Amino acid sequence: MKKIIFALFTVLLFFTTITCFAADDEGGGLIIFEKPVAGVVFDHEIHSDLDCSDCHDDIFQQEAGSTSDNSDFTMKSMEDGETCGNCHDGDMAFSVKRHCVKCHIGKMNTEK
Amino acid sequence: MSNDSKKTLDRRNFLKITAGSLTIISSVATPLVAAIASGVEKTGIGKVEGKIHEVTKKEYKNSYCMVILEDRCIDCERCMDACRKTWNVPEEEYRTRILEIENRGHKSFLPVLCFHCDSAPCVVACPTQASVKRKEDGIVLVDPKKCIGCKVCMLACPYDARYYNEEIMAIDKCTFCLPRLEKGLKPACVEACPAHVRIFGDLNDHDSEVYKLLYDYEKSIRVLKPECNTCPRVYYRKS
Repeated sequence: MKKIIFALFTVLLFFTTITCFAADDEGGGLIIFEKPVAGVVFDHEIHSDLDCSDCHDDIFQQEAGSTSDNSDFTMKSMEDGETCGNCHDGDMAFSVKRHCVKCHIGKMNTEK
Repeated sequence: MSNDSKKTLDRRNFLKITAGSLTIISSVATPLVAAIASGVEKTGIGKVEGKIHEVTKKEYKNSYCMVILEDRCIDCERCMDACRKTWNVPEEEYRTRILEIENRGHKSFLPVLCFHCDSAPCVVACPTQASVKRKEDGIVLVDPKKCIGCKVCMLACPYDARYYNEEIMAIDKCTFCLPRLEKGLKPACVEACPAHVRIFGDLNDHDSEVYKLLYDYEKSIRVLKPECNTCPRVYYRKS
């Protein structure tokens, strides 16, 4: 009996480890926005110093497309502290008014 | 005495010859000079002063021009999509496009289009005068009926603004959306831009945004390839 339980446990452990390393999408991955404007990227990798709960689910929902469908996902609202502007205010991280190209890499570059 | 008669004859002949030549010369030269001068007026060659207010002092009824705030473009390409949709531009061609430029390690996007130059090389190059610059507003158009598709204008344009349209079998390009302007609308690319990059207006209207941007002298204005002396009507400015 013990042996069976032990075996099952090992198998379970094996699979969870595998899945954690497998897909790049675990941890969010690279998001390329088409809406509201095309040519915008968000890379979870760069934000890996944060915890998932720092943004999810208060500031952003994890459901794919939920942020780009949000009509309040604009530069103006970011400057007011919404969405990305919660941290990108110039103090915690660079202000949304600067370094546009970091996120707005352009449609011609998202295809790469 | 024979010397005297010779002299008198010579003087008379001399006067005849001089008067005759002057008449001939002036009757030939005046229309010739006038023709050249009017030709110059049509194409704008020789009228390059190099200063914006000098060149745009032309008496256009609507002095249309565009100011591009070059550090605001994010290459969302909505302008390209809107233009393509409005004018059925084939996928491989463009009337407006975005270039990516790098300046001291700093990348930015530069929208370009036909600049409707005041001294347009395409108008000079066209062998059939299909390429014309309108007198009323300075817009450069191609008459598809006159165009023979020789593509010399495509070579002449320093900005690669023209393309050959297979459907109409003539050269095609940006028209500043003239049919839209006639309805009081802005060009499609201007309306589509979400970042207020393209500002379009009439320089005759001193209250217009284009006039204020060009004449406030706070930021410098540039045109592309000024060495080509084309005097474009699209100006680039930092916002």
